[in-house]
Amino acid sequence: MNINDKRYFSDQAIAAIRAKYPVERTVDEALTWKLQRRRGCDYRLTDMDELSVRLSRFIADQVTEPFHITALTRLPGGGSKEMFRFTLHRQAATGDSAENLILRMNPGESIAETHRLREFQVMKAMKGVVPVPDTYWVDADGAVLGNSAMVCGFVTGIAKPSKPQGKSGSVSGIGAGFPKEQREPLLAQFIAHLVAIQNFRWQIADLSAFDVPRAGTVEAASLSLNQWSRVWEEDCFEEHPVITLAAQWLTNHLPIANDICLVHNDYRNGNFLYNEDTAEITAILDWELARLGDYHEDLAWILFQGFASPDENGTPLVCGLAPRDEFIKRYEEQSGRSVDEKKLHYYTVLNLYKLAILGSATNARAAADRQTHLDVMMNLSTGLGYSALCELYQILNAEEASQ
Amino acid sequence: MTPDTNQYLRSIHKALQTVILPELTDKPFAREQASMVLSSLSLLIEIQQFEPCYLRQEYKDICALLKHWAFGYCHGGSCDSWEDISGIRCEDLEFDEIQDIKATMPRLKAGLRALMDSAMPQAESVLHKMLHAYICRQLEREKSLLRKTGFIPEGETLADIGKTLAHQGAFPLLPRHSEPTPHHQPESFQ
Repeated sequence: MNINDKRYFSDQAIAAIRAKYPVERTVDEALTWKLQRRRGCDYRLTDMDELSVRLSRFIADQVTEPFHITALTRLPGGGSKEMFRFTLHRQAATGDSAENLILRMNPGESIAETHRLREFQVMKAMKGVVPVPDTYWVDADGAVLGNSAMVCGFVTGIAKPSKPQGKSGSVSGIGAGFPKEQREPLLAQFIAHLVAIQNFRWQIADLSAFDVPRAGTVEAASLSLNQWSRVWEEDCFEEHPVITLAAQWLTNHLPIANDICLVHNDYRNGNFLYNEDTAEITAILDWELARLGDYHEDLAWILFQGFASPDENGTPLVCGLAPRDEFIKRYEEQSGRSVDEKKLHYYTVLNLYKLAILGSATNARAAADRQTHLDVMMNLSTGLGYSALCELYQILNAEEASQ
Repeated sequence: MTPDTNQYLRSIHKALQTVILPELTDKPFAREQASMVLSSLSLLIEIQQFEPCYLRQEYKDICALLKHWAFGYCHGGSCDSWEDISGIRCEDLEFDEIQDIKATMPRLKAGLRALMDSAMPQAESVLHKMLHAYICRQLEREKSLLRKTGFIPEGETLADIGKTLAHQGAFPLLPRHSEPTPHHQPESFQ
C-alpha cells in the first residue's frame, strides 16, 4: 500500500492497527467499520425517495400502530452527520398524533467517527438530568437504514444568536458569541448542566456500550490518547512533526484520574440550543464523543481559545460567556470540585491533539476517499486542524523552554 | 494565449456569487454548499499557482534537516543505522522533478517521525534547534496556505503563501547558531 493511499487497508493491516492501539470496544467497532466501509464504493448523497422507504421500514419495526411519515427534509448546518427532519403520524386507539423527529445518520465518513449506540445510550441516560432531545430508536449497524443512524425528538431553539456577534460561529457554532444581556443566564445554566453531567451516577445507568476506565490509574487518559493516535494513523496523509512531539509528550505525562465521571467531550457554544427570548437552554446536543473519564477533559475543551468570543471590549470570553478566571471560579463554587492545573494542562494538550487530528487528517481523508456528503466543507475545515497544530506547538515549545 | 487557471477560477467565482447563489434562497442545503464552494474558490485563486513552489520549499527544508541529521550519524561511521531507522535512502534527498518530490515527501516525513521517535536530538543541540526551526517554517507555510479558510486566527492579516515562500526561499533553513562550515557542510551524506 502506498503510504499516502489509505483507502484499501487489508484485513491484516486492520488487525495490526487494532492491536497497536487498545481502545474502548465500541470505539474500536466504529473505527473498524470505517476502514472496512472505506474499501467499498464512493459515498453518495442519500436519495430522499430511498430514505423514505427505508425509514418507513425501520419505524415499522419499532411501533405497533399504523403510521405514516411526511415532510422528510434534509437539514443544513450539520458539520458531520447527515441530518433529516420528518413528521411521524401515528394512529393509536387513543387518538392520532403527529411528532416532529430528527434522523441523524452517518455518512461514509465524517469529521469524527463515532458509534450511534453510544450516543443513543448516553442521551437516553441524560433524560431528566439535563435538557436533551428525546431518544426514540437506534439502528446501530445501519442494517435497515443503510447507515448507522438514530431517531430523536425535535427541539426548538437556536445554537447561536439570530444577530451574529462578532465574526465567528459560522461553522457548527464554533466561536459563537452572545448578546451581553443573555450571557449571565446562559452561563449559569451552562455551568449547572456541566456539573449535573459530571455528578451523574453513571454506574446505575444503561451505558453498556461504554468501557469504564479504572479510577486511580492513567487508563482514562490513555484510552483517549490511543483512540486519537489510531485515528491519526488511519487518516493522515503524511506525518506531521507537531503530532509526533505531542504524542511523545502525552505518552510521557499521562495523568491519574481519581474520579471517573461522564464526560460530554464536545461541550461548548454551538452545541446547545436556547430560546432567544427567555435565554433558557432547551437542549444539550452532540453527545457522540461522550465517554467516561476525567472531568478536566471537558473543562479543557470548554476553555479552548478557539471557542472563545470577545466581549465589547475585546476580552476573550470562554465559549462566548465569561472571562476564563470567572468561569473557573464559578465552576469550582458550583461543582465543589477543584481544578488541578496540571491535569487541565494535560487535557488542553490532548484536546488540541484531537482537534489537530480530526481537523487536519480526518476531514481531508473523508473528502480524498469520497466518503462524505460534505466534501467541500471537509477540505475547507482542514484550516481548523492546522490552527490547532500551531497552538499545540506553541504550548509544547513553551513547556520545553521552561524545563 | 488562452485564459489561465486563475482566470477560469475567477470567472467561476463570479458566476456562482452573482448568478447561482441568489437563486438558491429556498434551498438551504444547496445554498450552504454553494457558499462553501465560493469560499474554496477564493482560497484556490490565491494558492493554486504556488503548489509546485510549495512542494519544492517543503522538500528543500526537509532535505536540509535530514542531511544535517544524517551527517551526525555518518560522521560517526553509522550511515547504515541512520538508513535503518529512517527508511530514507541517499537518493531520496537529491530529486529535482516535481513528480518525484511529490511521491517522496510522505516517505521523508515518515522517516522524520521515525528519527524523532528513536533518536530525538538532545535539547539545545544544533540539530535540536534546527528541528524546531524546521517545524516553525512548516507551520508558517501551512498557516499562509490556509489563511483564507476562515479557521486561521487573524488569517486576513497573515502573509499570503506567495510572500511566505519568497521569504523562505531567500532565507533557507540552516542549523541555528552554527552555520555549517565547508568541513562538515552536509551537502550529501554519502
